[in-house]
Amino acid sequence: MPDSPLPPWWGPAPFDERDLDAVLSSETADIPVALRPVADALAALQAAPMPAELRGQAMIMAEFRALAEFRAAGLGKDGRIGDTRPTLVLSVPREGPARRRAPRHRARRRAAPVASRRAGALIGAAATAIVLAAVVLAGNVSGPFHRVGSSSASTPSAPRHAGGNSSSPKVEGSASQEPTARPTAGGSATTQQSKGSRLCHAVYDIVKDSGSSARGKQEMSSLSSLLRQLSKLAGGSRQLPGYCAQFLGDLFPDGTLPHIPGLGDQGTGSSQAGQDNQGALAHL
Amino acid sequence: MPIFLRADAFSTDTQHVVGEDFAVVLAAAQGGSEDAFAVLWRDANPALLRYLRVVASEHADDVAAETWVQVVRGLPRFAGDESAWRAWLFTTARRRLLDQARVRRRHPTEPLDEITAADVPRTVDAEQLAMENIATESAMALLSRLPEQQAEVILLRVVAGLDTEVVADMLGRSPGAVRVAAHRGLKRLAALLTGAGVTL
Repeated sequence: MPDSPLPPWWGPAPFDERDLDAVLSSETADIPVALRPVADALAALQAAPMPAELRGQAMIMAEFRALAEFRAAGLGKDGRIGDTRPTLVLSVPREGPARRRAPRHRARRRAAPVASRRAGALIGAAATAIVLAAVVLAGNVSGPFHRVGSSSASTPSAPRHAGGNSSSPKVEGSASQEPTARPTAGGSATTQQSKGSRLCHAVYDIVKDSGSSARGKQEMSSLSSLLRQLSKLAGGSRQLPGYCAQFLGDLFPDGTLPHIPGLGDQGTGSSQAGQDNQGALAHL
Repeated sequence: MPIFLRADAFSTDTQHVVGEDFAVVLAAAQGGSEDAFAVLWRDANPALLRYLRVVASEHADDVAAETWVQVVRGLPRFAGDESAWRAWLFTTARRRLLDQARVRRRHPTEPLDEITAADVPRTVDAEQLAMENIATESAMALLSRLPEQQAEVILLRVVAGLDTEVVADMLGRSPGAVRVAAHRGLKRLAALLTGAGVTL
């Protein structure tokens, strides 16, 4: 650097933009002296690679080799040159049976007419009642009837509750009718037992007279109501036959069973069952 | 006399050169030739590492590795001359750098301890190589003292060998702004070298 009493910034700049462009382009033949160190620094940046800068070659070559093999496999399949798909293309699964069904419109369920629900309930109630009556009258319920038949005198009969049935059948025999207490809200066991007996008798009355077509519709409605109440007491509709068997046995204090045309003598009754069938039924 | 990467004379550890034969080498690499790809890699990776070590010193190796993985995957789709090839390489590196910076901001990590130079067994040849590499390391350290934008422009212009227009396109700036940044960087380098009395 030449000696000068003037400060460095006095006078023309040691270099201009063209000199700087020349340094950037590595054209350093005619650059000013002031830029020589800069040119040397930039040249050092472009020097031969250092060993550390060539260290990762193995890794990248492995990556290149793997992709080249993949592409070679792809070339063999479709014959395209330069298959550029580096990843697998998954096919879109078709819609099949496994597809989740569209949810059913819940409104359809809600829109079920009330009448149809009532009809279904009545049909179910009627079926239960028929099964109940068949079990009782056919004598398939053992135990209580046997006990009742053998000790008819001690079996009280509860007054029947017939929903809308004016003609309450009477129990023939030595069984005495004892008034039962009205069921209270708390419902003791005895109260519930008497209520159950009352309901069972009422159901039996309706079922017995269900052959009458004139009162069929009204009695079906009453029957449905009675069966609902009985189901609660019995612990379910399936428990009804066994539940009512303990109460309906008082209908047959002699162990006699009413004669049902077509069914013949019923099984579990006493030897006199067949003799007074008609009479028992008439009285009931 | 300095040795330039793009000149015919290359280091003694390879007999392949890139320049006029770039198109041939590229086509071979795209066809699956490992040797051809090795030429491309050995030609460009040192410049790439030097660029990354100035702009992202701690994560240069990771970014470089990710960059080359992307390049390998996209190699069959590339089309262009050597200038376009370098532009694509450094653009990919820059994008990976930005992605890594974004990830590091979300999940900051502590780098593991690296092997220090004292742990590496030294030989006479290693000493000589270290002396020869001092100039390169010193130049990179000098550029690290510049503002980030000025250093990046100088590296892309000089180390990557890209034109002003290409650099402007990469950085999203005008060619004039790139030129101004480069000139300011060189002036600051001159001041640093002259004021410190450092010679390379």
